[in-house]
Amino acid sequence: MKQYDIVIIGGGVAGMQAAITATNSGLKSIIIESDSILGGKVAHKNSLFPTFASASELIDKMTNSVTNGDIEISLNSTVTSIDKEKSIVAFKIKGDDSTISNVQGKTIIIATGYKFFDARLKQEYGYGVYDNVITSYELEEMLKKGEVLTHEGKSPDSVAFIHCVGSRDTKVGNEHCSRVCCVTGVKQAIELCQKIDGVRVFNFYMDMRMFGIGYEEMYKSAQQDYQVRFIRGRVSELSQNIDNKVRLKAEDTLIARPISITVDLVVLLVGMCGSDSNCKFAKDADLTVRENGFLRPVNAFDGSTLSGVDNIFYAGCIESPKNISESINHATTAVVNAKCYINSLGEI
Amino acid sequence: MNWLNYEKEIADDKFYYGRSCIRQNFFPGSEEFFLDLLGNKLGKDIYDDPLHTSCSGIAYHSDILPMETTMTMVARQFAMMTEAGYENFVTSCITSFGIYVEILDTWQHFPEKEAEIRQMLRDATGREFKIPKNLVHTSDIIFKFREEIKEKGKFSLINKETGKPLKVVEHIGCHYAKVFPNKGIGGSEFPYVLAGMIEAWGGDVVDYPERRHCCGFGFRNYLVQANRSYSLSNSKRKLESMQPYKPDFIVANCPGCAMFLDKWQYTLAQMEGVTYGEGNRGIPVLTYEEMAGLIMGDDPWKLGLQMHEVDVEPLLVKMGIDFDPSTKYLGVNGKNIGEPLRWEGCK
Repeated sequence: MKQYDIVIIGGGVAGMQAAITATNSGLKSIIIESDSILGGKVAHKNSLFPTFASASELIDKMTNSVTNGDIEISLNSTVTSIDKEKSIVAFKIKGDDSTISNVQGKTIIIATGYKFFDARLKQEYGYGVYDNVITSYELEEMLKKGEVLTHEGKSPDSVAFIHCVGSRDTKVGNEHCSRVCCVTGVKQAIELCQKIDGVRVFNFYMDMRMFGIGYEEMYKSAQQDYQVRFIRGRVSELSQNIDNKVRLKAEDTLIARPISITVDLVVLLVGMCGSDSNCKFAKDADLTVRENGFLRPVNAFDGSTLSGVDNIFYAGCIESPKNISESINHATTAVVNAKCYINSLGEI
Repeated sequence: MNWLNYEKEIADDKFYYGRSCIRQNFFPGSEEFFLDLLGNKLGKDIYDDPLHTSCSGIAYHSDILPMETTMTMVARQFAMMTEAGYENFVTSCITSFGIYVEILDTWQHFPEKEAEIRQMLRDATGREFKIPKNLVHTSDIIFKFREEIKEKGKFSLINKETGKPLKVVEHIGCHYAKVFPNKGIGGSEFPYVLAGMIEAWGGDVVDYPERRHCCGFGFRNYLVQANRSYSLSNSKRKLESMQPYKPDFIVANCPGCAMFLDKWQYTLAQMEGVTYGEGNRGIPVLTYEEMAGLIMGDDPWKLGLQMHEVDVEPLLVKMGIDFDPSTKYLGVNGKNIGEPLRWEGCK
């Protein structure tokens, strides 16, 4: 069985950063990634807020660092079990269910990120029913491909974003804020305005949580430079007109009036949810799952990378919603803590 | 899809029937058809108890009765069911269905309230009751037996002349699933109870923008005269929204919805000179029992369709149903029951 200092589960930005930091710290690591490429969800993004930097550039840079370093990578690999006592991670390659590979690490870093909220659960928005209701993830893919079109193949004249879909919503059991949806809505609204001449963009929000450096400035720019209209009010329901346009009903809570508008395309800013694999990891390794599905660290302040099991650490959105820079920093901290643990074993 | 996950347990047999306060006035054949369908055509045990009363929901929603009074009335209904030896309660009215569901949910969360109501019923009548094992609306039952109805049926929701499915607007009463989504087939956003019947019987469901909008019935909206324009405005909004889809008829599972979507069409024609549907004749509105009755081949006038404001004849022709126009306004004793004023020609 191959042995490593750190077995990293997940090859998104957090997993890759953990591997890069491990190499820089003289630690040998392996990344076990379920997808066929590295980069996780960021690999499917067009640009990054608040600078509009290319997501591909970041992923290419990190991938180069990972592939050029002394880091083993196993793609298309699904973790089947974690043995916390022996610190062994078992996984299988997609398409080959009969072969289970085992790797042993002095430590294990779980960096499997998050899953998007299933927008179908907000039935009133008709995702999966109405042709021109899409998610922010799907819009990002369209932007990456360079073409934003309605279901009918037209360039949209009007687009509405709905914030907090599956976040801060007791009705669907998600009370947490996914944090990055607000700024994603602003970024995507600006990108649409840049891309499509004369497009009218509306953002329906509860409140705008512009917490990061440059976010507030981008929000201001969306209003002043691009005339994106921000309407404070949750959308009560969507429906489809006979011409496949989408009608929104909402309350504008600033003017205290119900409003109804019809647009060509609606984008649901879907929030982050704990990954499906979290429960399995928790069961295998005696970890704790939060009520919202993310894994619970020992504490939220100086222990957010610590799982409570000595040899297992968290990196990135496995623990809570984060933006990219926070995920990267979190991963670095996870490796520092992993190295401290390895040092405590007296073997290095 | 996700909403299909809203499943509902519907008993198979042995039902205690709770009638509606108003349906026999507006849709005089609907409840009779339902009893005949279950008791005779499907061979089920259904008990139509002359001792049961109004659930008083209409007064509760009009702020005339306190909730405790309504709860005690409902407790008496359950006592009637218990005394008759039944455990499955089926109610003909959406308001009642909502009332029963709300009360059972309240009692589940506040058992002390149930104990209080039990004592009130005991003090007033000396009766005891069991909670129904199964509580459903009559549209749930017809949904459950939709395939049996299709098998026994003589007609379908197909335009006899064109061979194409009829376009049907389905309207679900607000109190069916908007308050407790898990108590309705399909949940609150995409309820399937009527859509399932329409699909099973060959029709196409019209998905129009205001599909989920309230018809405007809303108790205080029409009970308080000053509010009636609000009730009318809601129906108008729906009718305008469905008009471009050219529906062949509307079917509703709530007494108020079926009544107002039908009768407000006359009001709108008089007030604004606007009619909906083909040939300025309005869009026919049926109850789900009437729709099932037509599928089964029952006589349209025995079903009470002559009591509708909007004439149903164009729909009968489309379905290929033979009917005798001369008997339309003849009552059971053969006497003319009177004809409504004509309102054709409004534009």
